[in-house]
Amino acid sequence: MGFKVKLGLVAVLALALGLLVAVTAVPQGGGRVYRMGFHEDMTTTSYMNYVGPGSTVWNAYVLGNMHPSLYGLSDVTFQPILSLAEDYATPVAREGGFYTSSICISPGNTWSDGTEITAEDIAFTLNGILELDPIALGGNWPYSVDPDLFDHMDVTSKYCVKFYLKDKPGLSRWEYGMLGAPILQKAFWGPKFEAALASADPVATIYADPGQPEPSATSWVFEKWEPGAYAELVRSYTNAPTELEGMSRLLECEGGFYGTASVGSVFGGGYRGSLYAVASNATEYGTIKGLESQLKADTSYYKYNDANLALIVRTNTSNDYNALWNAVSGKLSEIESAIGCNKTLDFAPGPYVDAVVYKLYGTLAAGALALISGEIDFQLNPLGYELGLRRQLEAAPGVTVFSNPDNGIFYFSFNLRRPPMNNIYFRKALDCMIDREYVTTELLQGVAEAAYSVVPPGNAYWFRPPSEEEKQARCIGFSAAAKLKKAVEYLEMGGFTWQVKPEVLPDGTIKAGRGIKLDGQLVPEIEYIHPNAAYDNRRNIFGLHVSKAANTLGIPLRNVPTGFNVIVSRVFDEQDFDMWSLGWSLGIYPDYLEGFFHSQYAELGGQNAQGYSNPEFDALAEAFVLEQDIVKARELALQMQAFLADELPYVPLFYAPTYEAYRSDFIQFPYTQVLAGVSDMNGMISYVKLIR
Amino acid sequence: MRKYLVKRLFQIVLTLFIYLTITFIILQAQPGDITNVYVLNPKIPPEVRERLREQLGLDKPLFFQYLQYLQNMATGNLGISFSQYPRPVWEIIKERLPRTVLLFLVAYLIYFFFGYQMGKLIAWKRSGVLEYSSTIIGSFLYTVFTPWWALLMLWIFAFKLGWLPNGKFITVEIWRNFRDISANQVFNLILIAGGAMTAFIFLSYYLGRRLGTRRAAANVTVAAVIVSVGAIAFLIASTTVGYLAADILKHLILPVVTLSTINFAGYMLLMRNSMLETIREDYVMAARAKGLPDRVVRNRHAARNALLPIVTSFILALATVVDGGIITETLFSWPGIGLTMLNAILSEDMPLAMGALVFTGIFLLIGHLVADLLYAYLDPRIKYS
Repeated sequence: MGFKVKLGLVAVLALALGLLVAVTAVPQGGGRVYRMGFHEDMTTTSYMNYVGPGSTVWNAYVLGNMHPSLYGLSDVTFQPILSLAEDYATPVAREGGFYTSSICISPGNTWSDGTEITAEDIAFTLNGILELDPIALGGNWPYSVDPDLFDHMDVTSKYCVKFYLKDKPGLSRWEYGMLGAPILQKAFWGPKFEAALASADPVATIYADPGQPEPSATSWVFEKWEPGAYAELVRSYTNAPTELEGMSRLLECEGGFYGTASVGSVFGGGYRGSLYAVASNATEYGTIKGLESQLKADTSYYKYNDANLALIVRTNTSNDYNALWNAVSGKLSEIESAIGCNKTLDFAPGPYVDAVVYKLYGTLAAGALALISGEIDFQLNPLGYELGLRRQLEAAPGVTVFSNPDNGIFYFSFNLRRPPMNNIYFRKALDCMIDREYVTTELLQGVAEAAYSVVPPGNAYWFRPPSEEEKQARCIGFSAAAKLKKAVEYLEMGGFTWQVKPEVLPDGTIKAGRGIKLDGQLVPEIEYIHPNAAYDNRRNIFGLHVSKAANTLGIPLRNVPTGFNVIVSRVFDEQDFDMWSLGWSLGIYPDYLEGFFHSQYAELGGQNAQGYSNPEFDALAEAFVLEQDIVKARELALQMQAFLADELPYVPLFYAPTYEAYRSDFIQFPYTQVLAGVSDMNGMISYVKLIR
Repeated sequence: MRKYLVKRLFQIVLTLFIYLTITFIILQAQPGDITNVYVLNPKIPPEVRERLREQLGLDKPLFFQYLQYLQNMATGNLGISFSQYPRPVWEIIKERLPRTVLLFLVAYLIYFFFGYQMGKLIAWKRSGVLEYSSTIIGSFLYTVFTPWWALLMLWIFAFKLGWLPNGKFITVEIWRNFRDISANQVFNLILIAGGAMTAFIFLSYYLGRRLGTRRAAANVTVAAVIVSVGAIAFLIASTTVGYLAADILKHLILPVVTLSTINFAGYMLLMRNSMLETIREDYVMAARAKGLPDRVVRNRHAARNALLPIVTSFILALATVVDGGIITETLFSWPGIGLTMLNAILSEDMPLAMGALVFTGIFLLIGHLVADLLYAYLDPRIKYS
């Protein structure tokens, strides 16, 4: 190669590097930007698709921030509260061939394009989804618009609608179900629904639509998705004007009081103040009502809702938002001192940022590295960090690691259609032998916590801790020798005998049993399929432990670590298994107790794959799903859990706390202690404050 | 030659058919399907899963699915992605392809160039420090565990020194200021500009040679390089797209360096061995005996003839440019075809997985054909009949 050519090449390289340096120096985008990392890409920009087949957690993080619903859930305690609704829905009543209920929304709420949200939007959404067929739409649509429950909806006035239901719904299908359904804008989605219905394949047609630029009803509007790189939401200044920042307060008190005071902009100009308080009990509610003369304002819409122990105050429109804020926040403070609030939450919801950027990293570790280097403020991470990454993050300056209980359960279960798994004493003996504390603390080094109930303790209102009697029955806190003795007792009660009986020798060591028999016949080999180490090492280790415990009892149990898909196919599609282990990610309302254990779901493909069938339990479950009173529903849920703890169709193994991390030198969250973590709250985009 | 071509095309079609069948069987042998994810959502009733299986055609007998798959392939229809339903597979491949092609093509060209040059030099100067050090370092890098090496590079150059970006292919803070421009538009422009620049330089070289002397050809080529670089510099400095392209190129450095350091040794050792055989040939001795300068004997007589196996290997490697590298793309957060294929397989998105595999397979088969034809062109002794 000649000298000139070499010189040319050197020049090329130098120039290229110079240009790249120049690009590095390009000024970065201004404004207050909250930067989050995630490690799997979105699959769609369409909200319709996201609620349907695209219902991944990654789509939820971005797209799940822009749609209103009649009811919402309160922070931390997750109780149903009013969202778009002006007041609670009227009690469901029989009317002709239907059950009906009416509800109105507050006037003055707007979409980000400036148009008002009306009853037409609500009726369009629910009737439209029903027409498209929620089952065919798939995903979470049948949960929002349950075709077995919902018949149709009428618009009764500009802001009010009437539900026509086929059945009387319980809390799970009503407050936690349909009343929380997302509302779509009729003007945007109406023509798309029409085109889809006119097509040969309405579902494919509606899902093929990119669904953007869709007007939003919240503080956030979808801005851009660059596949493989990032997504962005920008603030809707129509719905969240800068001048109202800080003019809202959210207060929660020990016991369950929930209160908000806020000022919101109203379509057509002006502002409205509102106060909403839900008492935790009748006494507290009485105290609030006792304040009536102080609270009442002449120009206010002012209402008590005795059924829900709620006070709802909405002022008339005014241009003086400072005066409105002083009025409503003052009223909330009066209530706070009157009820003797012991605050569990007290902060001013935002938003305080102008944009939210979701940066995509190839792996969780790459995202963690970005967090350490300050490239992002928070990493969205539904499964949390494992030990190695957690330690690395804990050591990084400016990074705060925190943990929360997860709303999930890891368990093993049996095919109750087959012996000896259908023998309750067999199940009790295995449950008794498992030393969850040893596995979680010694083998798993604290990345998991021992579980004894299907409802995790993080879901505090519905969780039932084991009673003293139950602790004895389930060998909780027993030594290995005591566990063995009790397990042998159980097996003997179940009619099992041995060729060599397991026992505790005088020196305290355990002699394993051999040749276990039931009704004089040797128990055949039992296969236990559980996730392998590549899929989930925690369940793999528990699988080995369960197998060892069973073998000690002389049970010929063979554990087979395998892939997730193998387990799912064999358990749910074929029901060809003896024992299996998996996990569930759960909702806040424990209607899954019915779904997992009612005998009607024991058919092929159903969630009661173990085939548990108990008419008493079924009756409780049926009453639970129909219950409309939350206190009574809780009683029923506790009874159901007691049943499950005794009959053990599932043997809970462990709960996994979620570890997350954020740059505490860059951002502030109003709180970080919440079930399933900050990721589950989509990174608190409307609460976070930048301090960098 | 025509007869040979027809024969080879027939072979390609047959191989492709076998490949399609095997791909289908292997992927279908996985237990479960994409609807398995619904099983773990207690809110989703089982009938939703059943309906989805119907919509995706998963309820049909396997043989029927196979026939439909073959029919679709024959008509160029790669189907609909399950995980990004109802997005066509071809659209996803089209989106991811430029990213993979740019990264791997640049890396291939660089490590081919360095491998060729180093192999040539160390074969010529045997038993020297250069040979021993290059062979040891090259062998070490060639056998190094790729993820470890990639993470080390990221740790040093992105995390510790902060010279280069920590993975990804764009700087979000820059790109969010230019909302109307998509990364793929820029990727495509880079590829077009790169292709045009290369064509321009080669054309200049060709015309230079036609002018007569090598010196003239070299001068024209250097001029062409300078003009090309100047044009690129002008575009980068004066246009938004240019700036954005430079940002992509900046992100390209680390993965390209990682790939090149790992892979150049393969070509280096291949070239070295080929050269060692060639320099023993009589015509090389004759060239030396004629008193030609060492450099001329090495570059024009020995290296050219030693190039044959390298070129074949290079062409075959180029064909795999389209399938990317799962490890590289994952570690550098570079979502190309490799990463797409991995995610598709993990999520049981069969049409997308098969689409990506078929696309790669077709490219590989064509690559084989091109390599064979090039072989005949480079070595006149080879004749196809």
